[in-house]
Amino acid sequence: MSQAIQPGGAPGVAAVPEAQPAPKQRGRFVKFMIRLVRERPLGAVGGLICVLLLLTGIFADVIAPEGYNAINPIDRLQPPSATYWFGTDQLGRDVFARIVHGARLSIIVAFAATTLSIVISALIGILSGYAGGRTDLTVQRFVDGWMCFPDLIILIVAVSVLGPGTWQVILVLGLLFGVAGSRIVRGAVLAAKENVYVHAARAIGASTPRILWYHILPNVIPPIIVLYTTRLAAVILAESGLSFLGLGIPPPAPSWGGMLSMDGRSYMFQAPWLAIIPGLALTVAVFGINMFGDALRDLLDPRMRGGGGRYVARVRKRAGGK
Amino acid sequence: MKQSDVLLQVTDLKVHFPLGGGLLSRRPRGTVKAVDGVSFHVNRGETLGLVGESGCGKSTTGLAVLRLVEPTSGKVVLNGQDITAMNRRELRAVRRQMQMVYQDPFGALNPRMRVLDIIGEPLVVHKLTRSKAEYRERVYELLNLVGLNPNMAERYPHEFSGGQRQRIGIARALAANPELIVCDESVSALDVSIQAQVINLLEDLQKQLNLTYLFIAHDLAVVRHICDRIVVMYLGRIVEIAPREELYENPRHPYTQALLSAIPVPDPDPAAQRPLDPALQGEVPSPLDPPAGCPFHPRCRFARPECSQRAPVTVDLGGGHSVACHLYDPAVAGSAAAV
Repeated sequence: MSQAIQPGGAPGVAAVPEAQPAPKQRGRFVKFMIRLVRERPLGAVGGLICVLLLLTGIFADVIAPEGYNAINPIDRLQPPSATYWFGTDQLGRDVFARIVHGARLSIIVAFAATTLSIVISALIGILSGYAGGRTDLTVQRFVDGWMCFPDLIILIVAVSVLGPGTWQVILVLGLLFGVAGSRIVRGAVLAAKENVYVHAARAIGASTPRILWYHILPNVIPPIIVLYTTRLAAVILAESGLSFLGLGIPPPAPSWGGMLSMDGRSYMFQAPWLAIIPGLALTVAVFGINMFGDALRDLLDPRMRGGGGRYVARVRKRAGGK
Repeated sequence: MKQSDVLLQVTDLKVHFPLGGGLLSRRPRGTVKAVDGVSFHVNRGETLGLVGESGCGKSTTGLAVLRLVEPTSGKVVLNGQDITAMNRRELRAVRRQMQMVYQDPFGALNPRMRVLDIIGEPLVVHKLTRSKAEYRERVYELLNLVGLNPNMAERYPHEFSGGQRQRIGIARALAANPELIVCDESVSALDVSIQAQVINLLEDLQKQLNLTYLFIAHDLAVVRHICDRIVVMYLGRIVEIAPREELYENPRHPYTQALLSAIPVPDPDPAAQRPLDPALQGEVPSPLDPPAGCPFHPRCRFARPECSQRAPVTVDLGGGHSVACHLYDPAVAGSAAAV
């Protein structure tokens, strides 16, 4: 992303390699992290949750080596204990292990579907917004038509056509959120297009791809990042919803939504942890991602740079008030 | 005039904007004739002023000359090349020779780019430097040229004042070594003291680099200071063209006379102020529905019956002074001598 922001590495100039950029970039990253902690502490907490979630997903096999489907009938419906931190379900499977492996599943689905949706949003949004005129009008009416249908109806129809399964869920969620998100990208492009410096770039003789890349895209990236993070959370929720309804990822895969529905609902009174634990995992994950996304949005805006941004302004205001 | 050869020749330029017309209806509901048959030339090395009230089409003329707005008809010839006939690729190449400096020093620079990359963009676009070192060298040189310190190259636009930003905009315009620079109200957004600095800078650069300016402005005092010749526009048409002193000392068109009466007299005594010409009171007619005949006749003190019937032809008064008014047309009965 930093590449897109600084066109120093533009064609013709990039021809000469330079040894400096690498350490410089790392310095920027560290600086950014310091700003995150100082200016948006809640965002830093969200970031920490995201990192934990990622690590859990990546090292699921190390954390819970027995896997998510190790059946242990003697220990069925055990409450949380030292052996089974989150208890066991009706088949005697360790809920902790299932939550850990469920994190991996959620992450895979979330990243894949969100990336797909963002690519779709960016393509439709930039094409439609920058082209303008009749192209824009036509594309937007298709988007309107798509958005008229309630999400859940589209999801249910698509999944029943494609059948349940991880890749089907990713495809359907990516497409669904992608078309809807194109509106946000288009709006940002429409606003960015009117900047005098976009006009100036044309006056200089810059080509359309160059204008899109250096002058339009940087304006679209902050909304895309916000879109990305909120979508990540929304996709996790949507996947859980689908799995809850039995349309998502079929058992025995440890989808958090599936766990809520299969085990949680049936044994809610005998074994409340079966509902509470996956619910809590979902809540914390979604909360963390959203907080982190909000913080990123604020920090990526260059107008907020310096002066401590919103957080410091708020603290100063509070201090002045008292 | 410094030199006599013509750099830019504009012939019968028209820019019409259709109004309305959506997806299904191709027929526009009306047409705004922003520029309606404008012809003038700019000599190499001179500064041509383009003045008029807001909405008279002076900015659109500037944009159409650079083909940043598509002209509806007419011809723009720069250095013998017909810009209006060029395809996209040829046009991109010819943009090197003509650049623009904008009014708003805050909006014209991409806030996410370093000054180095803003000023260097024309160099990258037109592949004018071969190495990164040469690129930096050239940007530093440009910064020096506009009176900024090269160590500012790594900063972002929000760290600069309005005047400094305008200098950055000028440096960017100069990067590709253009011959023609269109200054669209380039100093209007600055304080008076900064205005003077930027105008002096523009004048110095013109001498140093033999630049030609098309200077679009509404501030007649500034125009008088910097321009060699002046074009006065009203509702998309040229009403008068004259060398600077001639225009200010001897304005012929009633509109020019009215416009000049609006220049404030630098005297604190209210009694010293000129009375405002009554012609400038009221509104400019809508360009959607301009008056028939001479577009100025509804506000003109000297309007006569033929003014509302026929559009005036341009009369050459000699000495580079021409005017579009029936009063000076020998073919119209009782003209010329009447004033």
